[in-house]
Amino acid sequence: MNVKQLISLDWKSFRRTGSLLQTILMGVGKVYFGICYFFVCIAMSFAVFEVDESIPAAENFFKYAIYFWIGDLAIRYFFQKMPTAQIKPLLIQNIRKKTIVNYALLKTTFSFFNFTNLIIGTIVFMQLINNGNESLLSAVFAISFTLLLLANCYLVQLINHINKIALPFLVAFVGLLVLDYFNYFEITQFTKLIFSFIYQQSWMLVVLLVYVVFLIYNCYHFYKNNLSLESSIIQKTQTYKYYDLEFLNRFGALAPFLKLDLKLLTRNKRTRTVLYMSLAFLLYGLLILLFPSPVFNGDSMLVISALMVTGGFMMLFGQYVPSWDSSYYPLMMTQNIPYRKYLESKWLIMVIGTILSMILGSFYLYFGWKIYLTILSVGFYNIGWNCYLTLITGAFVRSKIDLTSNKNAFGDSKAFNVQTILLSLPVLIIPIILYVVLSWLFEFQYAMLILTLIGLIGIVIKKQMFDLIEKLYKKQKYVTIQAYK
Amino acid sequence: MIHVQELKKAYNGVLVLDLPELNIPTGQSFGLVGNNGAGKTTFFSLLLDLIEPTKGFIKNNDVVVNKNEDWKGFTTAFLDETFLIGYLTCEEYFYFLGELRNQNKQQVDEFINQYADFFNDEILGKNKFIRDLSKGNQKKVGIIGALIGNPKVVVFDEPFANLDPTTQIRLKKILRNIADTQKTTLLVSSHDLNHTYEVSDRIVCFEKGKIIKDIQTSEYSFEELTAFFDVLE
Repeated sequence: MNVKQLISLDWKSFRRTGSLLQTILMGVGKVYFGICYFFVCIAMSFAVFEVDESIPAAENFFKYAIYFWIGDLAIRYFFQKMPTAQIKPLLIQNIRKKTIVNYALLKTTFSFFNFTNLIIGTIVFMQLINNGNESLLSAVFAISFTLLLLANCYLVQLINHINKIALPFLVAFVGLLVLDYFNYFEITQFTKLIFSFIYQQSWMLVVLLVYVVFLIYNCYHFYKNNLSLESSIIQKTQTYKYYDLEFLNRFGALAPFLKLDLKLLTRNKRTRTVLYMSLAFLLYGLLILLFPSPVFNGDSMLVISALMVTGGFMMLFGQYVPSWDSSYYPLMMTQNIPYRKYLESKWLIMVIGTILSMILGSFYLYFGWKIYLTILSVGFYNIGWNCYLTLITGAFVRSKIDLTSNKNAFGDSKAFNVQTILLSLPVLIIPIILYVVLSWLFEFQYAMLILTLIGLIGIVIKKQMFDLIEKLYKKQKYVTIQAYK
Repeated sequence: MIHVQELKKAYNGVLVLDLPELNIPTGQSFGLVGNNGAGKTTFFSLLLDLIEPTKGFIKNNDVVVNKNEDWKGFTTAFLDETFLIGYLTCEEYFYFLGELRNQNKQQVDEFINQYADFFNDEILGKNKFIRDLSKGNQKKVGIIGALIGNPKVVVFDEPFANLDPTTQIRLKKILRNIADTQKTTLLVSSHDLNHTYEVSDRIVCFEKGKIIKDIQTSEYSFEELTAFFDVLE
């Protein structure tokens, strides 16, 4: 068995994940996000040289280069695929472990992110030359910088297997960004010295080359040593102390499900990713507030960020109801469970998540009460209407979720289908239209008050909405069970 | 208790199950044997309303299972690992099922302790997630989980497969005890006549979706039965 056969296996697994239409749509979705990422990278590579015109362009780049590095690492952490799937059937076949590991590493080398890195490197080179820097030094620096980014490809594989690093990492990243922005602690004052050192001392290229080789070597050994069924990649045996969630019993018939869902969220890799991502969504508004630009300005952008800030968890969790329970759906369907209670508990989890986001989002008060008021009103709208809408979307998603593996957020093959895309549009579009119309008709405060009231109306008609949702889910029952097999 | 009428299930026009009539009285221990693909799991899935009948219906205690959900109040099942919740410890799993069947923690604890033998000191109090247990131990958890809360109808699909011989014997005793109470209708499928013979009062054999044998075990010796079911070999 050789690499060629492994490629053919991969190709089959790609081809046979879903219907052709799904594959195409998924591809379109990925390409769309890919292109966005690509252009943001290019735009930033150009723009970063002109942040402060009073100092030389290269100095600007050295100052902000660290953000490229950290940003690249963070994006890779969440989105770069780990090459660990499907090795079980290969282990006992006549194939050397070396080949499997080499193949896996080779596969990640062709990652889309590495391609972007090359482009960034090229732009950096061009910009340095354009700004009158010495061409040889510039070329060597561009290569060194590209190597530094490429190394992330392997660095992220090493840190990805140490799960606990995710949250501190995210916090540290955002913390640095915020501190630096407000000039409390300019980390870039130190890091720019490093990058300008790399620029001046061409031999640093060799150091970086050694760094990359060192990481690849470590990755190789990590995978090779862990290429068995008991390895840390495939399964981790965990023991957990029993913890008391009895206080949830006040929710009566909903209590068993709430307790189950809390355990679902905290004990599985896949769901923990949702929690981390929700925290990241909470910071979405900062993007627009801290980096105002003519393109991303205006009220509708404010609504979108308010939707993301308060609705991040709701959307990430809600779109996969009931898929979160896919691995034991037949159990749920045969127990003495009123379907409505089951759905209501999912709804309650989303509502609690939204309320928490609204409370945690209170730091937006720093940017003025108007912004926080928008967040609150949109939050109420999310509770009132979008929670139902995402539940309805979820009924059509039906992707079997492997809770123990940390696939990237767009990795579930059947998650993208026409119905899902069509159904998720209203979640974003209706509130934007409402906001635009309301703020055109009324003063800001009243517009927000009315938006909140519209949200409250949604809560009042819960019974009718759940009649509808329950009917929909019941109708989908057999198809859903089949899809989870 | 269970009444099957004109039940047909077809996939893409191919008939995989065809049962004109089948009645299982209350308290009977019902054994279902047959080769792979005979329709055993399909029948159980229909009984539990996990798939939709192409034609006909199943009544469980006078409830048509695909029309009304009331059968869920007195029926439990363990078909495969999709009946387990991997990220719970087995105690939590039992309490969860207990809550759904109106059993408080104490009742569940008392109930489980009866089966301490069966768990063989490898499962209870170990604070291990079910997903980290071995396949056999997972099965034990699923089987006992299905017995919580005095169900009137219990369905087990291949409960003996994947268990070690000692556990198989213990399981037979557990199932025999339930059968002897004559209160619980017990449906057990197996490829192996050996197991069903000891547990079941009645054995039905499926072949290609049809009933080809239907006999009371008390009337025959095991050897006679083996000869009788020779078709299975």
